[in-house]
Amino acid sequence: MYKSTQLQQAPAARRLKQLSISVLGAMALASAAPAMADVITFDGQLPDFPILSGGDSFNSNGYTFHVIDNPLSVTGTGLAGALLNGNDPFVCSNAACPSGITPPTMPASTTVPSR
Amino acid sequence: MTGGDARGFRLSAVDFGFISPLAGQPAGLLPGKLTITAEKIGGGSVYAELEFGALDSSGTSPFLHASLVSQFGSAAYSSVVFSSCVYSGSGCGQGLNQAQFGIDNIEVAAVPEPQTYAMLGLGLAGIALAARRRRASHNA
Repeated sequence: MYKSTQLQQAPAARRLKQLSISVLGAMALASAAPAMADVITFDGQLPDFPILSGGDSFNSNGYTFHVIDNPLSVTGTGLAGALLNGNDPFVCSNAACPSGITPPTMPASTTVPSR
Repeated sequence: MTGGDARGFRLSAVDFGFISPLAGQPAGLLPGKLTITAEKIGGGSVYAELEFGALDSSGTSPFLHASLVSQFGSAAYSSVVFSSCVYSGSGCGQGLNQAQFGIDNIEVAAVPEPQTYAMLGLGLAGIALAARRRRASHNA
């Protein structure tokens, strides 16, 4: 009787063990790859960093952005860009900002004379 | 743009668009290119150019989504520089405050620590073991 019960329970116990191993494996896989990928959206940056000059830097999603005023003179400190809210219809009144995605965007300008 | 640690990061996509210095530029105009220079961990660099979208009827350049996988692959980079050039009679150059651009939604991936690979290997080994036992139990 005992032996019979043991035999009947064995497949269920084995399946549970296999399921546990599979779940652990799946958890390991799930925790590895997706945690590394990231999309830098600049969301939440607007209040603190609206205007950017050469030499400025800020962090977003664990990455550091260094603002370069002039590609030929990386030490330049002139006005170089801004973090803009693309939802504001007047944010680029005298220019033409890109359209088609949700804000914010990070424009930057280069100020090097034509070669 | 620099990563948070010495292992570097991978670069896979970016949204980008041209910022016209003046509104009302002619529709259909191709303004220039976004340029991307990435420094590899361990030396060397990769350079790529992406064509800005043509200006629309309001003189605005659309934001485009570009996959960078073919240009930048799976290499690990320590830094990436985004810049741009505008077309003139002599090709694509960096004009006087003309080569302005916007970027957003930069897709990156941190290069994982060795422990992460160990975790991944353990997970795969667990799945393989479970499959092997399942096969063995079916055969028995």
